[in-house]
Amino acid sequence: MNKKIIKILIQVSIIYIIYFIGNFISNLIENIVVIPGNIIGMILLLVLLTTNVLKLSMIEETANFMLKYMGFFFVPLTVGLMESYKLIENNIIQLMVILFISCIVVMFFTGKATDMLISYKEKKK
Amino acid sequence: MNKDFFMVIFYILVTIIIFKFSLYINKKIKFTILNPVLLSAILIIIILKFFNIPYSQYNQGGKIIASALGPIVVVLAVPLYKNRYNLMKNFIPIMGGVIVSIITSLISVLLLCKIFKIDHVILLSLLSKSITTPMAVESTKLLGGNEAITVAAVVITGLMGAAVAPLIIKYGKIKNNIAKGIGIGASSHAVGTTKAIEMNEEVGAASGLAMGVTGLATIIAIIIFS
Repeated sequence: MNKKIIKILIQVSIIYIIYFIGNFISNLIENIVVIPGNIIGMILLLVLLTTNVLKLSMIEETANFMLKYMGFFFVPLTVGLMESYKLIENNIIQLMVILFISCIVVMFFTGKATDMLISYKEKKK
Repeated sequence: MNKDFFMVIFYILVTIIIFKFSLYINKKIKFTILNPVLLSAILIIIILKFFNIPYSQYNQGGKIIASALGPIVVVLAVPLYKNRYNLMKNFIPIMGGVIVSIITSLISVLLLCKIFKIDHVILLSLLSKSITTPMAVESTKLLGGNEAITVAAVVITGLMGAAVAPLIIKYGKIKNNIAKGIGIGASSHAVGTTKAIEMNEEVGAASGLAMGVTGLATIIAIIIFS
């Protein structure tokens, strides 16, 4: 039991350290280009895994757990809509319609275009 | 101090319990519009309104939960790593998809805002609604929009994307897993990606990738064109 807790703690620490390094780099290059620390952290973790510096098994359990319950971490931000919706209260219906249609259009055309490009590529082979 | 600490723990616990309950409800009734995130938020808002608790007080605990969002995006590298060969193989189709997403997002927002005669500042705040929150806020700053409106638009878009994703894939006849993920991630960022991960790992990986690439490309496009 103790071993397992230590293992999880180590895994969480590794993930957080990578995240903090990402933030650090993000701050360094802020004046050149804005890339959030979490995205830099994601790239960094990907590089560490592909170069075998970090083995997947060193973070896998915690990573899987976080991904499985990812939605949970968005709940407070969504509850925040009870405050921020006041800003758009005046044209709430129009904005909801705009966001809804736009979301569908973007998802459909992007997915369809990618789908067609992939099958075109595979047919050519 | 002790009372504050107790309240923080209390609000975190309430959120966990309600989210667990929402997961259970979501499993019982297969109704995609009511995804666990939205259902949890609605329930919590009802509770807060009922007991007259201001959001700022709930957010004492809420912001601790939300602070894990950074590391979660980092962890999206794991499905990306596991599916790296398949994704690399489809590099050009993926980039093509990302370009389509940026163009369709821009055109649809401009056009719809024109139709509904939306205020210019709001329009500027909506342009980056499809990308992940920190990047969207930066884009809005660059464009001169209202950041708070952007955050609201980003969250709403994410929830909508997660809700409609299964329907768009089904009726749009999008067959390839990578294409599904690119469509979801490019339109509805991390919240959509939660749905993509639910579908399967490959869809989740592509969605996480699309989220990062679309965000970066959007910011670069704004820097170039504005």
